[in-house]
Amino acid sequence: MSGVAVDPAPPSAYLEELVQYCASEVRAVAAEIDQSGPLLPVIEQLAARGVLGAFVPREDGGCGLTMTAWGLLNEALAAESASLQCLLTVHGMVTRVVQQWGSERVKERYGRALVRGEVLAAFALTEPEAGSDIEAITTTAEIAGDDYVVSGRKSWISYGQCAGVFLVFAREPHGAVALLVPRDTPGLTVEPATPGLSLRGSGPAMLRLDGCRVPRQLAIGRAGAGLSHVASAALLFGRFGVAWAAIGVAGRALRTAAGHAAQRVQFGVPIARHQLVARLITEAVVALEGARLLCLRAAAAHDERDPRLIRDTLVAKYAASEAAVRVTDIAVQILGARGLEDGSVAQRCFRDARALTIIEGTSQLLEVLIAGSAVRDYGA
Amino acid sequence: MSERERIESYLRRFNADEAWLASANIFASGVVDSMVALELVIFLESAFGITVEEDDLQIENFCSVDGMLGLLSRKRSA
Repeated sequence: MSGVAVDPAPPSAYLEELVQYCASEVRAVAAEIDQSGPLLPVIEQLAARGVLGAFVPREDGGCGLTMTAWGLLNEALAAESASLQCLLTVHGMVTRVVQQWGSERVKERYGRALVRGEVLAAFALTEPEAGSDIEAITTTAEIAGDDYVVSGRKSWISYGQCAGVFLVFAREPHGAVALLVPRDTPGLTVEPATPGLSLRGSGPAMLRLDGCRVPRQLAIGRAGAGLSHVASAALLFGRFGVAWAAIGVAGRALRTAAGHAAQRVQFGVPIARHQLVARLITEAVVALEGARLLCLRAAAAHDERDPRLIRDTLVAKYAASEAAVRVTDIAVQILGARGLEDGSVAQRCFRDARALTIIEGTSQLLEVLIAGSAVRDYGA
Repeated sequence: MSERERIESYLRRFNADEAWLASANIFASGVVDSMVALELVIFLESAFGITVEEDDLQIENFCSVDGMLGLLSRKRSA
């Protein structure tokens, strides 16, 4: 089992600067992102600071952050804007597999551009009838000479409104294929989706692919490995990011609620001294800190390239997202009517947390996977 | 411990059945879930110091002990 760094290595000056940037610049625009959608100038600032490809090794143009540092960065960004952090998740999922399994041609065209954020990427796996059951995708990629002809529908693609390229998963004669589809491909229609309860600033879109001709050279990995390896590796990276996002959202909500509980006086004393409120705060602290330790353990496994990183990431994502739902619920309860107000931080955290037990693997899917692993680990 | 023994020892974490270990496609039986395919990539990279690249992502390289040994052999001779 991976070692757990309860107090991870002191953050680098670069990471400290980014955390400060999040707490000042991102905080100032978080409500606007939530209300109006992605703010391209803010995304450009993140790109200019190297954030979008910060986990990529320096020799490939990135900042070479460890996965522990990448997790802390995701936590800091999500604490201010979970919608904006969602970009790190989806763009990072595509960037990761391009770096890992992209051909030289793909890396030449997209490698550095993705790392620098010159091109934004979105992850296009979900379909109207294929959510957790990714094997149920029906988008097809027919071979036509040196091209694929891609047809199908993709749903709820985060940052689809902004992306310049989509990693699309489709069926071809040898199995599933992962294919980079540029936004300007004839036959590709990107329709903005109405934001829902959560992550309202994540620019969701629906994709319609009608006979899109895409060079076969833009495939990531070999045909047949699209779901088993490329999608799995991307989802692993995404789940890691969502886990840390949940810690960021929950931490922000708890800080807001604890601050309020210390100041708000009822019956002559701060409400934090009322035993039932103290119980809520304690429950939130334990849920948050326990989940954060699991995230640190997963990060350590990633940094050590320990094969247990998959199992540890599943556990961390499950624990952190469930903790975020509970902690943000507690925060709204402690804040009372103030927590229900439009524009309140607690309300936004509460809404955003709700998505985190769904995206990149529902809690119910993760329960099946974690239980399968537990039977091996504990039942042998 | 030989490379074959190391791979078999790792696979026994998922299923100790010897017939399964010797099968031509360990994924066909449904014993292991989809995440195991990726875990095997990480295991082979970390245990044997190789890098699994784009062209290596073929099911034949991961669906049996012999397939994994063949991948290791090819990576070292490349």
